[in-house]
Amino acid sequence: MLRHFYTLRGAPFRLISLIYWPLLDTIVWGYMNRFMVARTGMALVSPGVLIAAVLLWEVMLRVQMGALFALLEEFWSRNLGQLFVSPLRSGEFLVSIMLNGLMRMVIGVTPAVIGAMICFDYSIFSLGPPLLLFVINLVLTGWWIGLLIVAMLLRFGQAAEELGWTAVFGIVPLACVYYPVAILPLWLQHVAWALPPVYVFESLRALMAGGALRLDLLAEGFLLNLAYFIFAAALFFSAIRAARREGRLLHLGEF
Amino acid sequence: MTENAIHVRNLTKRFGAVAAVENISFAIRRGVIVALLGGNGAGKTTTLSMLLGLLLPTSGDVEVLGCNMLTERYKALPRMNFSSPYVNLPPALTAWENLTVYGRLYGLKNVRQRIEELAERLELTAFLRRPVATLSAGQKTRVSLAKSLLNAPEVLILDEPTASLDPDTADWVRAYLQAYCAERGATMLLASHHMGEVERLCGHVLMMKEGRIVDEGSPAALLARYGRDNLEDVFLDIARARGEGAGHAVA
Repeated sequence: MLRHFYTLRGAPFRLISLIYWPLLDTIVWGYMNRFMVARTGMALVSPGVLIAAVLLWEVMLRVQMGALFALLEEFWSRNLGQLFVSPLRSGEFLVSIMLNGLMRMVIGVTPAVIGAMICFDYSIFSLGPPLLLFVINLVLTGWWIGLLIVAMLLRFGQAAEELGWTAVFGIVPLACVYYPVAILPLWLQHVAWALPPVYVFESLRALMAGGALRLDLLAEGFLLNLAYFIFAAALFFSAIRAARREGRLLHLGEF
Repeated sequence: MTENAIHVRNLTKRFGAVAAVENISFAIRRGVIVALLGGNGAGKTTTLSMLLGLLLPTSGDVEVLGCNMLTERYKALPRMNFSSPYVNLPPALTAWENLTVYGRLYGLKNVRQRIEELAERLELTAFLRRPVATLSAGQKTRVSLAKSLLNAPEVLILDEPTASLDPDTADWVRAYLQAYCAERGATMLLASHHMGEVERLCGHVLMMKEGRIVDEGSPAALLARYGRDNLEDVFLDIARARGEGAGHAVA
């Protein structure tokens, strides 16, 4: 964690990049939200629903990216070998990846939250205590997706880095961040319901439409998240063992 | 307390059909400085990686400080350390930050004090607060060495410890390492292409070729065995000889 804190502290452009994208997304979707409410007058598009959705999506995305960066920084600096000859255990490395994801999420999303307050007079905290349940679920999702990508990188090396950047965006259509899952074709809805973020965003829309908090959905999403997290963690440890067996810990980052 | 700092038995590492290390065995007593010599592709890095727990052997045993590196690695790792010019420290961090991170990873209580002490001994103070990326190759080598000495290791594994150092600094580092091992009773295993360094520092030499240990002995014994004046010629005799046992050829 200290290593990544020092990296961010000494690299202002990395910090700017961390803040820039969530803020930009929030502003774009905030104006989209305002446009839709003003032009359509649709009650379906309650003020702030798109802004809330994009902020929560950024929570998940930044946690996942943070986890990815925790490994990529070591690849880029060819430091992985040094780390693994130290007393650092694989479990500690996993925790540091998760914490790095959290740290980058807080740094990246906080300005976006403030930006939404200033530009659109919308506070995500107006969601109340359910916000915590949404965030917990999405952080878990970011963690297990991040761990899956890290495991893939440990297995296939830096050649898989490109996939690491883009993989998470592949689930955006199915995560139903900006639209209800009912919009999807029936067969695709079944696939979507296998993704924990769907439960969060459906609960969010239900709550903001004036309905009750869907604790049932959130509980199901949480259980799915736990199962996927356990699977991703197992893959992560397996990838480290394979890297140790195949001698890749010294050479990862060279290709 | 086991007499051997490092004990390797029937160690083999295969990558598919290729045997990078084939059935090697050796023991290094505590407090001894040993060189692992061999040409490119001889198996030195593979052997060192298995000693460090970075690489799992195909078969055989590795014990460091009495700990089996397959099952008890985390008991030995806090008491050993490693330096190589081929494995970097994060370049965006300053030397100080890097040493702080590794000091904490090794569980040091007084990290700051230890860094200052090493900075003074290895003459790092002038560039301690500069990013590693901005340092010269020689300065990076010294920072890497400092990192390898943070936890006052009982076993030090060094790959080309004086690479990129000017002769004066290299000589100074050798003297420092020699004094360190003598003071602390530490064991050092180094891989080096600098034969003068090996002759000066090492009490024992392991010669590797094609994944096997083809000869070993003190520098004086090897010189006598091969009838040579210096280890470089011994190295060349072994490297150019064909088949096992050819390493004993006398000019």
